[in-house]
Amino acid sequence: MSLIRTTWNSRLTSLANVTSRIGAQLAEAQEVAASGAKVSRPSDAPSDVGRIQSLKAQQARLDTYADNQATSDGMLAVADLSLGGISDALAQAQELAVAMASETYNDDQRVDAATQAQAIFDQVVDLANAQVAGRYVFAGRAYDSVAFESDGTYAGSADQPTVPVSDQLDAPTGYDGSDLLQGTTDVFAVLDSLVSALEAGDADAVAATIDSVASAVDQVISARSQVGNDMTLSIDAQDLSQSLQTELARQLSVLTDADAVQSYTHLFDVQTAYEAALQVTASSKGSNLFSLM
Amino acid sequence: MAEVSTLADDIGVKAVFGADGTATVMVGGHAAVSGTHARTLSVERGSDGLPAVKLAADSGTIDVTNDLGGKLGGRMDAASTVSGVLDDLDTFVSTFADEMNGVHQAGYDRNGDPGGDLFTYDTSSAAQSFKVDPSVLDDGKLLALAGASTAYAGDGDNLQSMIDVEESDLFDGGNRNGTEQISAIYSTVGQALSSAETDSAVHQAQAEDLQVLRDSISGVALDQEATDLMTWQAAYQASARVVSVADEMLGELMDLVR
Repeated sequence: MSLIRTTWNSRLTSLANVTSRIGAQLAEAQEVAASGAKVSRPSDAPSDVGRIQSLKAQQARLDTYADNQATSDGMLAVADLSLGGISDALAQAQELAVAMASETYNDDQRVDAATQAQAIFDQVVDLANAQVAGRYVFAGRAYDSVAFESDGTYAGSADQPTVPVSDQLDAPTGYDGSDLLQGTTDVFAVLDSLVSALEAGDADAVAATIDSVASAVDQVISARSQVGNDMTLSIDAQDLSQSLQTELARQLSVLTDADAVQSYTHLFDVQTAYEAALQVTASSKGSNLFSLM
Repeated sequence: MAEVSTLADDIGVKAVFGADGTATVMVGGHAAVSGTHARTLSVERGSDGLPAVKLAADSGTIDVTNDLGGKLGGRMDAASTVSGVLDDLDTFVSTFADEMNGVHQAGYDRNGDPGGDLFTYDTSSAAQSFKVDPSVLDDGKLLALAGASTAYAGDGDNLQSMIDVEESDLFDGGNRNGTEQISAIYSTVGQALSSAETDSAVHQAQAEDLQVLRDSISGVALDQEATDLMTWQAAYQASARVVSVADEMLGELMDLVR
């Protein structure tokens, strides 16, 4: 067996190397303890990097879905309010028609009531042109311009803008106003007929509009029901999205987050080892036989 | 000796010592220094854009790039790995940009006109030069998000087609989508870094062992020197004592003769 001579230089070099290695471990342990993350760079867990990236991509997509959801919610809320207002206005028109069709009122009073009916017409046009952040809710995809002209002519597009709120579900960010308000019964045409009949002071003509106005009310109630249904779907999608977010965060945490107790215990151990290495280095300066001579 | 050590540190040369104590310094099996003869090492830009290290030979040069070790060899390895990753990134970017441009051109902008390019890049360095087309940046209306020439503000049919590109298996021969491909590149970098860290730790330990072995031969062990000093001191004192006794004996003998 041959012995290896341990020189003063190699002893110091070894001590310096050990101290340096423990110092690097200490820096790493401090980083983990301070950040709470056990994966800070790809080399920390190369085999998990793909999974981590995929989870982060899914999280980003869910964040986008959440933003879309908020946009859709705002549009749906305004659509619901507007349709509620239109429904109330049509109910007023219905009452007016019923009242003016009776013989309680004379022709002059009917002509005067025409002004009231025209105001209801204008109010409905105004409500049908509801906007959120400059977007007309009932203009279909052509939401950057007015949905209805002042005479009730539809100026939007005959389709519906949507945004994805989950991998499977798109939520509306507006509606085709011609479908909602002019589908089975043309709300504006009905109101226009009522105005014309009142202006003519013709009780029979006014009476003839009552059923149409009732149909218009039903149409708007049906439209509001559709919006309500969309809102329910939106809430369901939101719940699903939140559950997915929670699950993704959990999976990501398992892969990337450090266990606090474990990381602090490790930090303490490495710190102790580092201090010991420094002490050994300091005390080894005079530890040779010359110092005993 | 120190110069050979420095060369080994820097470029990973190996030295073969002759009986007369002279060293032949080898680079990857080629003698760079032999006796009083030395060959020149030079650096040139290789066809792949990476530096190539050449050793002068009797006729021309010998490429010793792949034979290098030490710090320079490590850096050359790193450069080669990084170059591979950059190539992957360039391919990723050009494939993605071409696909997106194709989809963008199939849509219509807010003016109702067909879309142009959405991204531009320089084919020689796609990842570095990749950017949104300046004309689109200047005028957002040129974004061809609509699926029809009516180009309503809410027509996002082509936008959806562009979003769908993310899920298209465009990479790795149709086996990976964009996210999977970039994750694979990321993973490759992580793996290379992790391997390099492991290699570095192993080589560091080997270097330390070799340093100890070398020092055990050529270095000064103070404890051994002290022990030797004490031995020689004792021997010297013993010799001095012998001389002293002999001197005394001679003195006694001289006295007897008198």
